[in-house]
Amino acid sequence: MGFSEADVAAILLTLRLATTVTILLLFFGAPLAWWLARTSSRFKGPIGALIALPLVLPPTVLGFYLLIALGPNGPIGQLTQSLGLGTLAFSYSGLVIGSIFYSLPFVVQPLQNAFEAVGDRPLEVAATLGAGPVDRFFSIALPMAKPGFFTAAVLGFAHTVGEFGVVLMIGGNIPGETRVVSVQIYDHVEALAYDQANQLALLMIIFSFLVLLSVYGMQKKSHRQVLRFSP
Amino acid sequence: MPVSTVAAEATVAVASNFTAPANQLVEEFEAQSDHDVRLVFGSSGRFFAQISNGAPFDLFFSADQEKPQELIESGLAIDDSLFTYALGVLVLWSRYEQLIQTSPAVLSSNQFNRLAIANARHAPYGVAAEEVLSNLNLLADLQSKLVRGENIAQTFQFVFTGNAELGFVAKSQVYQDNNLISGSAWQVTEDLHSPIRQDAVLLQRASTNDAALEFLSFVRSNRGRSIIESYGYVVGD
Amino acid sequence: MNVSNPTANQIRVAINHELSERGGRAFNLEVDLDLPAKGITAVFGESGSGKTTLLRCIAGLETSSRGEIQVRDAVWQSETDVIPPHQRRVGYVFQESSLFPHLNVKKNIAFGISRSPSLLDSQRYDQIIELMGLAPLLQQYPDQLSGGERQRAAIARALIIEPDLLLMDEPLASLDIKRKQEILPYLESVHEKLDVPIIYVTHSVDEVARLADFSGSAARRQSHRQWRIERSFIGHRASTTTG
Repeated sequence: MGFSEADVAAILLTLRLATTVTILLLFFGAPLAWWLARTSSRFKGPIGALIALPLVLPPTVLGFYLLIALGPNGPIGQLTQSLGLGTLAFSYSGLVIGSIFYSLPFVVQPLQNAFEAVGDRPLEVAATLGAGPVDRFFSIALPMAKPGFFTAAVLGFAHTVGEFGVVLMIGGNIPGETRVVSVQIYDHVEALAYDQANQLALLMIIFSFLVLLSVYGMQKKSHRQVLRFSP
Repeated sequence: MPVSTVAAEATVAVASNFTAPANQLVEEFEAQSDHDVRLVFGSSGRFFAQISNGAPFDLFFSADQEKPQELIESGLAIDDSLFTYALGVLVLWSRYEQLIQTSPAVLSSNQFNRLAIANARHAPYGVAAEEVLSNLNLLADLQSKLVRGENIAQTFQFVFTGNAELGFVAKSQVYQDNNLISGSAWQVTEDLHSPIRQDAVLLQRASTNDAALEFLSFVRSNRGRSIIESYGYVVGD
Repeated sequence: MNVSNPTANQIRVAINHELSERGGRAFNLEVDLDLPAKGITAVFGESGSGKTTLLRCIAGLETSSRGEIQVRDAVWQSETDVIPPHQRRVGYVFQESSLFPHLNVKKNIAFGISRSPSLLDSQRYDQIIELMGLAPLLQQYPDQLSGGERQRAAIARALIIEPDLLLMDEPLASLDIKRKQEILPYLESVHEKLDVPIIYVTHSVDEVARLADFSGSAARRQSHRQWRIERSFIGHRASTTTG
């Protein structure tokens, strides 16, 4: 038995969503993680906690607030309406926004750890060698934190693929637009189509296992690299 | 009628759309009985999967007819206990006061971008909503405006938060004592869709559970029926 | 604290640094050093006396509460202005090698060159590579080197940018005796062949005896958390005039 057309569409949509979200998260998450790793501001604690919230909140809670925020009277909805974009619930863009919130800690935290592992010393050395702050970020911090970027990208991608509660709340189950694999599996189960559910679920399990395997494999290597700095 | 002397306990799986009446039914039942009834709310599909795999429920109040029937066929539920405890009433609802003029006219207008319905693949209210649209010859035209909630509660959220301007929801969600709570609505006429029958069944393991049996007969009593009706459901004969 | 008349061959460091350490206990360091812009000045004193803090303030990695730092004709810090570290022509060799782990020796050494406003003098490059005996190691990565080799590469990296002042913070302290003996001749030849003033923090009498032209020492003031570092005496090697 193969995957139905709807299943394939859901798989492709999920991959597209996870790729978009991962790229955006690395782009915005890196400066955020850098700030968190270096700052001694009193806002460090509150902002770190805010970013970590999706780790502990039930996704449906996050999804419900997002649904309100994206709605015509919500702050995001007001903004998108004034920009002439209408409201973003039940759209691919809305899903991207929701997934960014939801997967944020999975990207920011590994990056923050990686930046913290770089330590002050290499950056101080670079400063005495004439590198300004931006130069130091790109020539020292980024390359030294590379394993962290790999972990962050893989976790962000995988977590977006596995996202369910938020999508369910703000997606509206539109084929090719918001009906991702996890929702498709849920629908199969609810409709008692257990064979189709099994197939897709098995695919998810294999995928997730391979992803985690690659992260653990990578972490072993990166430890060596971090330790390499001060022998 | 035999008077039970030992207090028993029953665990009841209830489709989440029936949460509010179920709570009141249990409250009144426990006030007049020694038995304890524990309610668990959730999706009918999930309950079906759990019961099929040995979950310790005594009664199952499904949101449809199909799942209790299948449990009977697989020998997990008792055939002659099956009955329709409520008929759902479908309502086209909007949070906006003026949008719906107690008729389906708005559906063929350009006054909305999104119409929320429950997922017809597994939610009975969704099946009914699609039947209504189909009978009004609007299903094809509105396809691109449809957003689907996984159940009727989620469908209500979509409309309640304004993300969908309109939606087919359950009357029990927007009416109290037969009065519309807020917004505007059109109560769908019965001839536009087949009845939304919600069936309950006694599960095999509870065939001699007094708490379950007596709770069932309370639900079917006149007092039970009037509680259910007060929440916007219809109770058949 | 007033800056003495600026002269092109003098280094003046006059700072008053208050810092509260963990636990909230204040630490006060007062420095008053006038040094010639040549030769090696050894600064010694017991640990905790602020020697490293002095170097960090000179490099700009820490900013002292009040102070004047002037190296030849460049003012690095005055009452009104603080130049950030990457704009000071300063070399810094840390106690541990601190090579960039993701770059090989050649790229480590080249790091400062591309960021230096002056063009690279390739003769000087060759000279430093030769002085530090690094030619066979250029393609190696830091984790493939011994501690002594790493420190030689770090010294070369700091020298190559032609700093106006080279700061060395116990550069041999993390090496065993054998490695120390191996690297000391390299330092001596740097001293002899390159015209770079060096402030060298150590508490090894042996290193002072072998290398230092001048010295400064740390002494306690009043309470045990207050230290003063000043020129103590002209070392035995100093035969040249001071500025």
